[in-house]
Amino acid sequence: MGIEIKNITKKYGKKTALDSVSLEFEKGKIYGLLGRNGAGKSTLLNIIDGRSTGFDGEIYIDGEKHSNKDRLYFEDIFLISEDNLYPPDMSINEIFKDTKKFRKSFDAEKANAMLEKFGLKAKSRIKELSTGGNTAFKNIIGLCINTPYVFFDEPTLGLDAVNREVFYRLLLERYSETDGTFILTTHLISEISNIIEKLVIIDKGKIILNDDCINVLENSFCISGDKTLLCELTEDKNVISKQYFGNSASYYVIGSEIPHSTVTGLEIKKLTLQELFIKLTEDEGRETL
Amino acid sequence: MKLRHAAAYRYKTLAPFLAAVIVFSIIQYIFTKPYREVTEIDAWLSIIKGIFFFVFGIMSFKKPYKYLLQNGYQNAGIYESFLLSLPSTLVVSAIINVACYLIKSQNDYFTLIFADDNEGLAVSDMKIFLVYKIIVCTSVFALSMIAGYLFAMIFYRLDKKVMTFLMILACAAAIAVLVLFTYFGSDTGLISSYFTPAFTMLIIPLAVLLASLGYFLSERISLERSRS
Repeated sequence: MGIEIKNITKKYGKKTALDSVSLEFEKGKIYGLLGRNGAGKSTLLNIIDGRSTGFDGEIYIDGEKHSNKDRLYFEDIFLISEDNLYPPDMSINEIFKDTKKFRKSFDAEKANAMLEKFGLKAKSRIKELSTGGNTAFKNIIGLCINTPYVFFDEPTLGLDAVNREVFYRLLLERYSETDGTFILTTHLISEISNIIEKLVIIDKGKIILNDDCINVLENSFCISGDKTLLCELTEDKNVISKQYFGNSASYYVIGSEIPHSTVTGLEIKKLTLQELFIKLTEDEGRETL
Repeated sequence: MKLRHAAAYRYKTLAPFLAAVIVFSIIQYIFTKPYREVTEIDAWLSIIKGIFFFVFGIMSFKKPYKYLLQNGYQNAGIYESFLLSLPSTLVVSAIINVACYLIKSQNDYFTLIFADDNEGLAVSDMKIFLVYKIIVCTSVFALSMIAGYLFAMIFYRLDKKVMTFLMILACAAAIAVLVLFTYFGSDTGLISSYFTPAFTMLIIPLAVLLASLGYFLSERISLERSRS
C-alpha cells in the first residue's frame, strides 16, 4: 500500500520547514527525494520515521495511521540519517551485534561481508572512521535490514567515486531481492538519475514535482534561439526558466513532449536531471509550475 | 522484549558511573566519623551525591538517546527503557553506598543511628534497618536521576533562552538550599530528620509521579510550540 502523507506542516519557531506537504510513496519503488539545502527533505523523513513530532497533518503507513502504531518502537521504517547517531566509542562489529538484537531482520553476516567492499574493518571504532567511512558503514546497515521502507538521507556524503558506485550497485541488488521501498536524498543528482524510478523535488517546504523520473526527463527540454520565435513556440507550454542573450534566449520547458526541430535556428536538447533540478529550484528566472 | 534490549544497552553505559559511585562512597567512608554525628562534611557529601545522580540522569538521556532513536525507538520507548533500567542501577548504587558505612561501622555507631532513625522498628532488627537505608538511598538517588533526565529532555525541546533562564533560577534555588542546610541544618540533624520511614515511602511514588508529569509536560510543550 505504501506511505501516504496528508497536509504535513512542520514549523520550527517562526520558520516553516514543511508547508502542507501531501504525497505518496508507493511500495516497491526507489525514490529520489531532491531539494536544496534546508528545503525540508530531512525534516520530512524524520517525521515519517517518528523522530520528529509536533507537526500538523496525517501519515498512513500501509493504510494504518502513524499515530496508531506502537508508540514505543517503530519497525516498519529504517532511516539512515545524515547525522551520525552511533556512539563514537563503539566498534562496527559491536554496532552490528546490537542492531541484530534491536532488529531481527538485520543480516549481520551479509553486513560483515560488505565491509570489505567499502574498505572497512569490523574492529574499527566509529570515531576512527573518516566521513566517508561513517557513511559507508551506515549504508551497509541500511542495505542489510529487511524492513518495508528504508530511507537513506545523504548516502553519498564523503564517499569517493568508487564507493559510490559500490553503494549504487548494492542498492540495486538489494532492490531486486525485495519488494521494499527505498528513498534516497542526495545532492549528487546526475549520479542517481539512472537509479531512481520516482522523483520528488521539494523546495522551501513545498513539493514542486512528484512524478516518474523517466516521464519527467522525456518531457523536459531546453530550446534556444531567437527569442521572438521562442515566445511563439512556447506560448502554451510550461516554461520554468528563461535566459536571455541579446536577441537570443534559452527557454527551459517541462511537461511537454519535445518538439521536432523543424524550425530553423532553434536548438533543442533534453535536460538532464541535474539541469532540471537547478532550473526548478534556482531563485532567479524561475517560473512556478 | 524490545524495551529489555534498550535497557540492556543502557547498562553498558553504566560502568564508568558505577566506578564513580564507588569512588564517592570511598570518599564518604574516609570522612565519615565512626560515631553518630551529622557533620558539615556529611551534609556536603550527601548534596554532592545528589548532584552527581542528577548529572547522571542528564547523561542517561543524552548518551543513549541518539543510539536508541537510530534503532527505531520512539520517545516513549526511550523514556520507558530508562525507567526500566533504573531499579537495578539504583539498588546497586545504594548497596555500595550503605556498604561503605557498614565497613566503617562500629557497634556503637549503628546502635546509635538505629535508635535515632528507626522510629518504631525493632532496635535489634539490623537487617530491616539496612534494607531501610538502602531504600532511602535508592529513593533519593531515583529522584535526583529522574529529575536530571527530565531536565535534559526538556532542555532538548525547549527554547534555549528559556532554558538558560530556568537554569539560572535552579542554580539560585540550589545555592539557597545549600546555605539553609549548611548553616541551619547540620547542627540540629535537619538533613537526617527528613529521612524518616514515612517520608521515605512517599519519595518513590512522588518520583514516579514527577517523572510522568515531566514527560507529558515536555511532550505538550513541544506540540504547542510547533502549532504556535
